[in-house]
Amino acid sequence: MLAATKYGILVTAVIISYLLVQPLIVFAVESLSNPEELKIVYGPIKIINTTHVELPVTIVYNGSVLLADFQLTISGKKILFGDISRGNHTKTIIISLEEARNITIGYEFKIARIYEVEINITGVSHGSK
Amino acid sequence: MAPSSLEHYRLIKSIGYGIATGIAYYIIFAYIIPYIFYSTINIPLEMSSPRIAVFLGFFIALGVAERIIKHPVVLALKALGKVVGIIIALIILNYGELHTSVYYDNYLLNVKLNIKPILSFLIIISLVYGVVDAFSTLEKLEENKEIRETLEH
Repeated sequence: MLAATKYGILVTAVIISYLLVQPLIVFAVESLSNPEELKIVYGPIKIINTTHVELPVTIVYNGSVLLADFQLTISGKKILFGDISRGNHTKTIIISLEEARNITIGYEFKIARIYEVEINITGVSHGSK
Repeated sequence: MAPSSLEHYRLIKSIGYGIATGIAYYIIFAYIIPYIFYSTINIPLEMSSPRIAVFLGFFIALGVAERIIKHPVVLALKALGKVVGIIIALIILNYGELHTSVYYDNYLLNVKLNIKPILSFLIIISLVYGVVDAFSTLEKLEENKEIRETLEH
């Protein structure tokens, strides 16, 4: 009876582990096979006034795994994109000229709502990632 | 084979099995898991360090003791073995928070990946399995005791 329970636990563990790990593996394999899987493109900058500019930010995602609660931080400003699936997702932010000159990017999301990922990019200049 | 020789044979077999199990765990934790992480998501893990070596040594010793000792105290050893195994996994996997830095197109990407959900699941399942395994061992010890008592009478 207990031996059967032990095997039952092992089988359940293997099945649930597979279901939990599978999205992470798929995301990793897709990222490595395609460096353009997740790309952040920003611009062109539109000048609003002497101190601020309008900056469109587009997330280009070519992967098959859902990225939940996607949040982008540009020069300290947080932009919530929510759940991201394959396709282009654009939002526009208003930043000061000073912030536009020295853009820093960071983003965070959850792979398949399970694994939190935080990425900070340094050495970024104008253009796309 | 004389009874004493049989006992020696069983003892050596148990020690060998315990060491082999420990080495198998060592290969899985210190080489296979870090290799999978490094080759798939490019995240280096702490493969071998003095503290991991100490815990692994302890883990192997507990495995050997579990095989040799035929007494209810083995339940405590099994529980301790599970805890030590979990500690090793936690150290190697940096308590579920993996970090790496990747250079891409003149940019430096600092990546942080949280694998606590799968790690927590594995710890829970390991503990549940440990409890069931303890009851199973207890059952076997009781059976052996009954057989011995029947033979003595």
